[in-house]
Amino acid sequence: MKKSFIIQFSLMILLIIYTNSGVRSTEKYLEDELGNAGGIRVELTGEETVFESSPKGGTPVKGGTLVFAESAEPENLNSYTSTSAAATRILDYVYETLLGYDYETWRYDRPVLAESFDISEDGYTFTFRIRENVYWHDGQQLTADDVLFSIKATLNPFVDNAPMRSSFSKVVSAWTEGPFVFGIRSSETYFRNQEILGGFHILPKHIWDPKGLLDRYSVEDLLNPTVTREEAAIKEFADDFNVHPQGRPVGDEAEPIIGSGPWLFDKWITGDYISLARNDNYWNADSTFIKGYSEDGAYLDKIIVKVISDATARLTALKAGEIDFIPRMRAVQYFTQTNTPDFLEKFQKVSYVNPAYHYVGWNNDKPYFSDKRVRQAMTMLIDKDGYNKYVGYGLGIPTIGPFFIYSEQYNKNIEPWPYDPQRAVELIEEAGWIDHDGDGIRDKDGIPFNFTFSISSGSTSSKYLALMLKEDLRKVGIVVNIRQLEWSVYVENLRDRQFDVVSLLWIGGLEMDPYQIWHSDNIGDRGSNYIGFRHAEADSIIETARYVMDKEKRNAMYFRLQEIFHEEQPYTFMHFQRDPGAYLKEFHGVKWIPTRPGYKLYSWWRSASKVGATL
Amino acid sequence: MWKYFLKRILLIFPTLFGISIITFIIIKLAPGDPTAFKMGNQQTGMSSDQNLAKQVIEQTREIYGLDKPLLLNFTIYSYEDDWEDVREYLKAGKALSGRAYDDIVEPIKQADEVAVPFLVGLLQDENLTDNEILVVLEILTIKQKLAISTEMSIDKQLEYIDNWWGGGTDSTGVVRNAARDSYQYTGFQIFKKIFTEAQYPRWLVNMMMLEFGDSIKDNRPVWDHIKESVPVSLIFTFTSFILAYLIAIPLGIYSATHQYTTGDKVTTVILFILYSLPNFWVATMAIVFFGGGDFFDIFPVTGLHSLGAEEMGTWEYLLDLGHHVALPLIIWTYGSFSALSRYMRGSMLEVIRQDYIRTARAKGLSERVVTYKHALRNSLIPIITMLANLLPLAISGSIIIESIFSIPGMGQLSFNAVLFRDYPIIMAVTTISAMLTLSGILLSDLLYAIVDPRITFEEKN
Repeated sequence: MKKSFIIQFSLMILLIIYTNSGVRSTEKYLEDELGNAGGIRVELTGEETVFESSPKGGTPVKGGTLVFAESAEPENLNSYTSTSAAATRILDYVYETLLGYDYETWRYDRPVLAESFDISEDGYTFTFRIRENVYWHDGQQLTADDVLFSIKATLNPFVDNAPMRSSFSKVVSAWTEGPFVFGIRSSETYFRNQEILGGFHILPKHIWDPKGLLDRYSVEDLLNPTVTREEAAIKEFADDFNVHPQGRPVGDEAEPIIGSGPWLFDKWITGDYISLARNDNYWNADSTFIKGYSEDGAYLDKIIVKVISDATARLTALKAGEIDFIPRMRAVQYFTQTNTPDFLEKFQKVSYVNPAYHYVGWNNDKPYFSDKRVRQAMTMLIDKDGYNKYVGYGLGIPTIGPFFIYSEQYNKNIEPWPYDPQRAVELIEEAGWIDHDGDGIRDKDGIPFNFTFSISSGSTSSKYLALMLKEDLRKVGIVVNIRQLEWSVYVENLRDRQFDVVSLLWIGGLEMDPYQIWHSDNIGDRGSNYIGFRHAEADSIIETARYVMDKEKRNAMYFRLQEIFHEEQPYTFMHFQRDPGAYLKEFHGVKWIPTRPGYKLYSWWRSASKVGATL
Repeated sequence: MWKYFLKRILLIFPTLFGISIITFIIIKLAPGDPTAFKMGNQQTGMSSDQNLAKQVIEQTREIYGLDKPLLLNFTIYSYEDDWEDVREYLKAGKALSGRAYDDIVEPIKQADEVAVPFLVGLLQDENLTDNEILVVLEILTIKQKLAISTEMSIDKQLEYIDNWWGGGTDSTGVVRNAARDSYQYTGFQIFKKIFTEAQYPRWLVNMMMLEFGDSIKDNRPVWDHIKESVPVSLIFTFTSFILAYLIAIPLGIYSATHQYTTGDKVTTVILFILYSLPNFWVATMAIVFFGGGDFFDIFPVTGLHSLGAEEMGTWEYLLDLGHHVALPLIIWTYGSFSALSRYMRGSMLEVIRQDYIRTARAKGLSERVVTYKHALRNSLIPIITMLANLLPLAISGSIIIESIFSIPGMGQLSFNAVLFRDYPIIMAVTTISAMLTLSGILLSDLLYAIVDPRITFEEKN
């Protein structure tokens, strides 16, 4: 008995020692692995507005399939009622909008379905001239009637698309003048009108409203509650629209989604994949005359979106050849699990920027954070660079405000607050937080400086940030409690403003309107100004700038706004996120852009030797 | 004995009722509202117009019946008192928005149509403070869906209400009937509303007719969701069950009859190790080692079919399915057969020590007959108990294995439904699961009676 015990015990010790050797010190690991881990960093500053990560040159060939992985399956593909980002990404290939981004100037004025447009003198009316050579995937011609129909469907109050409809809340009227002219009028000269009015998917009227239920009603009718209550046809249309089979074309016998875009909808096998096929009758097949595109596109025969929910499974599938491209992998996978010579030879790793920024939100209405000096101090107590290096694998890009770093709105002249605990303590004491009662915790007016940092239970990086903060603040006499909450409860607390501190991401775009998040009107009542930022000058800038059509003037106002944010520190702005991904090196024409999702498959093509390898 | 089983079957209904009420309450009490998700999981899409958002949220809640009280609706009698509470609240100068406001106004909203004559009466009374007028107008507009926009002046809104209530020509020149007539209710009708204007009774009645309603997330019938996911989970549950029993029973018998031999010791150690390995870890390791990354490429790691499986012939299709199912199946099963074989062993060991086994041997029966005919039958009782769990397992799936292997089964369905607060799906899955558990227990009781003649359910005389 004793002998066998000794043997087992020594075996265990040996096992423990063996498995723990080979773990190097953190510093050395970071030196080796950080940097790019063999990948390419996409930079979109200065001259480059589109970044190509594949070797230039070579003639594009048509053919080949691209399989890439999404982490979640969209529940439906109804462009207006779906709330899932995955659905939008897929539908962007099948449907088109009136305008698109110009890839050189990044203005939203590239003519897509609209070959030209005018804005009236007063700025309220937009007139679009629709191209005459566009055909739907089923052969019918696309006309201004389809555009008018799409707007009517959007504004129909019974259609289940409230978030989308709210962007169009200032539209007062829309009409057609003949088959190829579409006009629309808004009651405001909002600077984002062009993007909103030119940026909704155009749906085919003959598919979605075959009975012509909405023909009799004008846009004014649909906006009038008296009419919408009385007219049964309006509700009937919406009931059909919300559950239309085009929203869920599952299985072999389903009618495919009919759009006008460069890709046809092919198939959807639930839980498995969604596939798209090239539209060989695409109206824009010869796209050299389109400003912003430098060459043809839509070379791939097929694009297949496979649903793989687990990150490890995704990476394994890539290595095993089941998929060709992962748009987003975990940082730890990018830096430690994809470094074998085999992998680097077969795949190209890329890290590209996502217009989403990470921030720490201080509830300005809590006694601890109502003084801006304390908020500035908090910012100086967070080691942003350390966090980025040790938790973020160096993937974050530090930022000083909510505007996208690649946009013209970003104020490059502002320097971030440094990591300076000493200066931070001075500020805190200036604001009156001193340890009056000698218990080791600072207090003021009888309230101890003891707050709760709420984080979402799914986020490991927030957890590390909270732990970091807890430790650093303990040293200066501030107590931090960490509370992990399930996502839906977390969101509830946000909306009801029941929190002290939160750590979250906001997703933005190239051009942003700060009204929703920063104006004092949006505090409370479930508005997005959760932290309660109130500043008279900021409010007035936000209100005025919305209607300034001149970009230079407007951005100058937003520069001033960012100075205010810098001074007031309502959030501690952390970093813009870089997403790490990898694709098979056989693909060329791989381009990266500063708008979501960051990549455009339009220009990808596969080298000639691999064409013909299908499923 | 059949009387006993009849009694048991009848007892299922009150048990189900109890289970459903408790589940209902627990789920509804959890914080989180599916409307919030529909309105804006996206953070840049929220309406900048707060009033619009409020109306829209209210309407969406109404579509899903979330605006009514949970169990029974007594607000239809108490609205006058509830109004006094609102007046107190307003007198204290509190805000006309926010959680506290929503809570105080909720009972009157829940009284819905029944309170309308009272509310209109208040307006026509002209004794209200400005704030009180605003509150009453808001309640009427939102619940009765009047064509009033908050941009209209108060007087115009009051005028609209007068026209609407009493009939007459409204601002667009159309003659309307008096709304007053459609809001008259008899005492009995009001009494019925206690049950119809509440969430649980409505749901219970639907459930009894097996109408589970539509999912809140994508408006598709819950039944469709279940129909799609159950077969997937079923493949695993059944195969895993058969496999586990096929392995565990012989293994258990072997361990019991060869107790303390090296074979037994080795088997015990291996089974304990297997049992203690957490399945999510094993799943991930299996994917990395056998899925074709840096090591072996034996199994595919995602989903149930390869791309293009629809075009394969039947035999090829089944082979492909088997190839995909193999890895998740192994992981699903190893835990259960380890446990099962230990139970088998323990139970058999106990039986083998019994006197009647010694008697059987003394009678000269071969060891084989003793083990398999006599001992085995008596040791099966614990195993049959496990059977009771089989049926509900078919519907609960395994969320861990399903999400790691991207298998669209019941585990993913119910888990996502809970995260999203998709009540129709959650309630449907829980109810079906409860029914299956109860049936499973009944079935195993029946099997006890069959397997072991000593067990009867007769009453003692």
